[in-house]
Amino acid sequence: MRRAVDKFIANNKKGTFVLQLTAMVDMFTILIVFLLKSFDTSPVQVSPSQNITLPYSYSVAVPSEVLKVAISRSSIVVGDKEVVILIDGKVDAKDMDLSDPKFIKPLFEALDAQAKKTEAISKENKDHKFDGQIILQADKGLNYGILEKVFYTSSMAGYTDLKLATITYE
Amino acid sequence: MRRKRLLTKNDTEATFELDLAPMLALMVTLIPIMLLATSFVKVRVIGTVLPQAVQEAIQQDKQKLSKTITIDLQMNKDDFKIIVKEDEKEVLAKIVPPTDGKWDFEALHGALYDVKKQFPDKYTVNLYPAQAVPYSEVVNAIDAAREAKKSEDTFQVFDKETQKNINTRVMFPEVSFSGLIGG
Repeated sequence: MRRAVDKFIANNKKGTFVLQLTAMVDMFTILIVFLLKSFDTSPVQVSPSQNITLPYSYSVAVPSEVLKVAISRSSIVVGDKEVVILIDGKVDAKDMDLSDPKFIKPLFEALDAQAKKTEAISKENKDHKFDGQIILQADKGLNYGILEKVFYTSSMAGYTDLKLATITYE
Repeated sequence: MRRKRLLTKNDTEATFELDLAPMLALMVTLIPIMLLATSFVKVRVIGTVLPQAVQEAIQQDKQKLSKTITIDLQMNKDDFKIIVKEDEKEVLAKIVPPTDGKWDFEALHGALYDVKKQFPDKYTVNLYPAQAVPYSEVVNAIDAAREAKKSEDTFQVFDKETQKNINTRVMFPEVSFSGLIGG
């Protein structure tokens, strides 16, 4: 028995080895360089909203920190709040103004409240101005018809400068 | 012979193994942090960073009151129509027909380039998409209008500061959605 243990220890000693880490370090260096290249350094990060596939564009303009409106096939979201439920990309008749076919009532109310809030802040803080800007994230499959209604309602609420969010070609 | 043996001996003694373990530990920490922080999809907004001279030219174009020239771009079911009006009178009309039943954005770009050559002081296009046009195609039309694709296709803008003409690829950076009011 003793002899067997001695033999095992002797064999085990022979089995130790040094790990060759050079190849792994090479791989990690390449990975870090790739990640550093992909790193977005813009001060404002806009993440695509859920259920929205943004269209591609050649634009490289960096978004600024303004109110965000997201339109998917199922809803319109102002900031983080869902204000209108859409049925397959169309506004329900109850949310539309009967006298104005392009006016979405709940959207106007939400945007108007935001505009009033910003104006109230700008009275206290002169650096904070209401400039009527919106970043619009819309699903690429939506028809212009719904966008036109959103543009129209936004302009009625004082938001006339719409920036369309897109994914840039690399 | 003796010298060669000496060299070989010294050379063998000089080799040593780099301790890569701390470097590896650092990388193993860095990679998850960077994977979490990196966004592979970059969201941008449609807009062009314009040179100062071009911005001034756009302002001048907006302030012009006499001889108003407007460029309208109608985006229909599968084709485009460019209409240039001078004091509300139509002076130019171009139809960009579809290719394989789809909008031809290359041809649209070429047609708008020709219009820009004729009216180099204009920077705004009024876009009229049809209700059924998908949003992605509207964005493609805006892309076709914003700037010349080829680097040699440039337009001259007079820079007041340097008193020289500068070349720019900017065509129609200001695209406004028209027909919102009263339609």
